[in-house]
Amino acid sequence: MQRFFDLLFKYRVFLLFFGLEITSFYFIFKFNSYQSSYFFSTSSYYIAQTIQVNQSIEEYFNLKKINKNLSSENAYLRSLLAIKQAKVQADYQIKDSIRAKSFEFMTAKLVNNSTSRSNNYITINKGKLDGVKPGMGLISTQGVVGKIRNVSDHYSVAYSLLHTMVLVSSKIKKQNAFCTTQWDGFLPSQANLLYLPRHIKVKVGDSVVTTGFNTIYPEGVMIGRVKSIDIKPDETFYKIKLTLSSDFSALSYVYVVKNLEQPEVDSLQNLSLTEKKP
Amino acid sequence: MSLNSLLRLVFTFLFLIALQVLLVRTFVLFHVGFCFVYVGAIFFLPQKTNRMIYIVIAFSLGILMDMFYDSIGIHAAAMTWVAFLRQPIYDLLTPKGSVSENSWISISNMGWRWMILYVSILCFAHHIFLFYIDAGFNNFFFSLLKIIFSTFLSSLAILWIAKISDQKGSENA
Repeated sequence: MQRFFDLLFKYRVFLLFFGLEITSFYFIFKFNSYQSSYFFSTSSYYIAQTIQVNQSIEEYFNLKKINKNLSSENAYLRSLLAIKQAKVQADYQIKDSIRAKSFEFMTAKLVNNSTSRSNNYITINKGKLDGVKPGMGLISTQGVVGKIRNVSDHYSVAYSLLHTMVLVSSKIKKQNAFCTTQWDGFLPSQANLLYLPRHIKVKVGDSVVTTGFNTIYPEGVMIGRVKSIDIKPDETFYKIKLTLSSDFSALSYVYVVKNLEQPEVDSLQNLSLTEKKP
Repeated sequence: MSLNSLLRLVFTFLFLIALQVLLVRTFVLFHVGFCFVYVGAIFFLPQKTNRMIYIVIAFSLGILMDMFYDSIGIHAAAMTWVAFLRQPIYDLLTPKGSVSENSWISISNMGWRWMILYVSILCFAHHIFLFYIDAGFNNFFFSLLKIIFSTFLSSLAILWIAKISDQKGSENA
């Protein structure tokens, strides 16, 4: 027994090292896939407060870009207003008032954003108290941005679209052909378009938008444009690169998407999944 | 250990962490050059420090950084690894008896050549661990490119800090 303890003592440094490595890897595998780890993340209050100092320094250097984005957003909203007014003047009526409003948008400011790591996250300044819940979508005026991962009282952390595990249900707008968008881990300006079968005719420059199947994003939110197309004779699916429409390095304000019908859709789908065969 | 030297050591330690969190955290050069200066915070601790304490400090520092990077565990794993490697690397670079055991790890005590090797080897060890855990082995060469660029940037920054916080003499002085 004495020799056993001697042995332990002799290798104590290595054992400590080994133990801490095991702990780290436990953290990596447990917390990086769950949505519960808000304490150890930038949604934690004090961390977010510190980061805001950093963000404000960076914002100063990006003022020009942010200004440009905001003014283009203004223009976009004005054009929406014009359409709306035209509709009102045409005595436009919504037939079914329960369907009139299935999405709500909430403006949020970015506290933290990374674009160059292999898995990127975004922290925003809206949290549980503002009604943000894990799983909600995040969009900007330019397109899809991400999906909420975990929330604290005042802040939330979201998976960026620039996260290799995030899949977005998408379609080619012109053809209505369904496919999936996934980031490839290289540049923040491009992503892969997966599972588009070869019988679909696709051209460079075609727009890719969301489908609205997963109740996270509204239908038709811009994701990007087809940049390059490649297919080998023996392959079923195209190899397509997208140019993403959101400029992730200049994001400053985003919208949190709240789907008011989501509980209903989800519970209905769960019901039919668990139902026994007739 | 004189009070002045101790203060200088603590100041360097805190300065590196603050620099990382407040300034270079979001800094990326051409999508491949990251700067992780906080690694340097554990390079200059006195050689006499107990290795166990040393590893625990590194691990805690890693966890702190993980909170800022939303990557719980990854930085901690890399930091623990570097802390473990420090002693072997130190022994490898320093011939027996060439430097007093109690000397500060500083440029004026160890010389530029020693310092550049010491810092860049440890940075490289840290980055190789960090990037391959973070990204896995798909995008192998892209990650390698990131590692090489980032090692260069981090080492440069840490050497600059080493230069301004340079102190001669030993712990017993």
